[in-house]
Amino acid sequence: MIRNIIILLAFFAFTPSMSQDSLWFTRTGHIYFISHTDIIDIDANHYQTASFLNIRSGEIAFTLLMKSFQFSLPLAEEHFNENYVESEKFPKATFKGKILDFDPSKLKPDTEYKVVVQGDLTIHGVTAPVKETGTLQLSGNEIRAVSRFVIRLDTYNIKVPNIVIDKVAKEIPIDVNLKYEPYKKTGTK
Amino acid sequence: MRGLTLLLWLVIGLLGLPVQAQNDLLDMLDQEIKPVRVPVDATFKSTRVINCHSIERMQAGDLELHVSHRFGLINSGFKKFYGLDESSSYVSLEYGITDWLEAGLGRATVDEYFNGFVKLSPIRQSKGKWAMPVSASLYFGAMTTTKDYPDPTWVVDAVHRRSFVAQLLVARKFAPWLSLQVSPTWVHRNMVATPQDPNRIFALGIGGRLKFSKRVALSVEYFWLKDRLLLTGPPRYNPLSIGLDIETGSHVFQIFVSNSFMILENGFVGETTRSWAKKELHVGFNISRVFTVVKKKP
Repeated sequence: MIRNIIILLAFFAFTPSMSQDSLWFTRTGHIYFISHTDIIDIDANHYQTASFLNIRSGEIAFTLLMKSFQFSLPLAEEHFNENYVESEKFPKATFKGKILDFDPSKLKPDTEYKVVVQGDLTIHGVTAPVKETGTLQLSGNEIRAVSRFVIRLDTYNIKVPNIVIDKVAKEIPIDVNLKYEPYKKTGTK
Repeated sequence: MRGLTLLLWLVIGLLGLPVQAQNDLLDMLDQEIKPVRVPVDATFKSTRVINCHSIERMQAGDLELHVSHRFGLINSGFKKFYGLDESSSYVSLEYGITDWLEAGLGRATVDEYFNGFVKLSPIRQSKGKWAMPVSASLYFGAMTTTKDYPDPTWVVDAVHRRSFVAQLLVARKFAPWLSLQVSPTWVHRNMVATPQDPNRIFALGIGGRLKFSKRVALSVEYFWLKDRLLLTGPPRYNPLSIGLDIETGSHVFQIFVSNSFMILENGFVGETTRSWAKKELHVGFNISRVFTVVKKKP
């Protein structure tokens, strides 16, 4: 009996912490995109991207609410949500993937670790495989992750009506900028 | 003792389950995301349902150039080109001071009215945290006529040239394709035709938008006048308008038929003398063009 209780206690003492030690987290990730055309530049920022990075396995995941993109043109924000990404139908964009050949020992202070991330990106209800590059850098008690990649609107079935076809770029560069902190369970920031 | 041990392991097993389920990082993220307030956008595409203001307003820094026309009676025949010879118009500039406060100035040709208004939108329909079932805006307008009165001996001082309007606009977007608005309206005319005419008229407006494609919606608007029969002069009718909203990027184009020729609130409420029953209808349109004057700071 005593032995069982000890096992039980040990189970609680180690299991959660074991799985979470390797997890780093942010809920204030920054994402920026710009649709550049000769007629008009439409850009937006997102400051509430949530993400996990597992520095043992190299697994990485993102979630963001489409409605939380802040546009410099208010009308563009309305059109984005209502007509292009249909935020009421598809409220979230997500990414789930892995850093290829991840080597935790390369996460060193003040050195950029160039990585290749592969996984599934879901936007507008459409999931597509992506493989993009980025960097990780440990500094102090945070890991900075930076990536710039390009998506095509037609990949995600985002249709631009003919009447504004010259005003919306078909390829959209996206900047991702995150600062991960060691993950503590819900309730702490 | 054996049973107790078994129970203990069972408990461990059950407690262990959520830990297992958390292995999927996306599921864990869903649990970590704090609920946020998500405001519902685009209850109406335009700042007007048809004649009546909608709960929508310009966002901070946006300027709307609004142009409205109402043509003559469709049943006036070929001689009058089905009403297109005659028209009344209204032009205004409407600016979003903040995301919840808009002010506008305009001019209507019928009875030569200048008008000014403010629209406040303190309540916005939203989901998520602090969910709110409806959006509500308050609309306050003042109108003053610069017309000459038929009898030149009349001295009509400035005060008597004014009318006022107050509206409570309450709307809900039930689905992406369906929005409805209820608009209790009070119109106050400082001068009326006879002492029997009430200065203040109450009307209840209802309107809606039924979107059937990404760019096109059917819109309907009706006002019920409480004291319609107390008004002297020609019989007054409740204005009913039916039309289409067509959205093209930064333009919204509304085309409709209505038994009201007037565009301002003190006109279509209380001065509508044409009737659907007698097929006395006008074609009308509203064009709204939005200019972003001040860009939002990212």
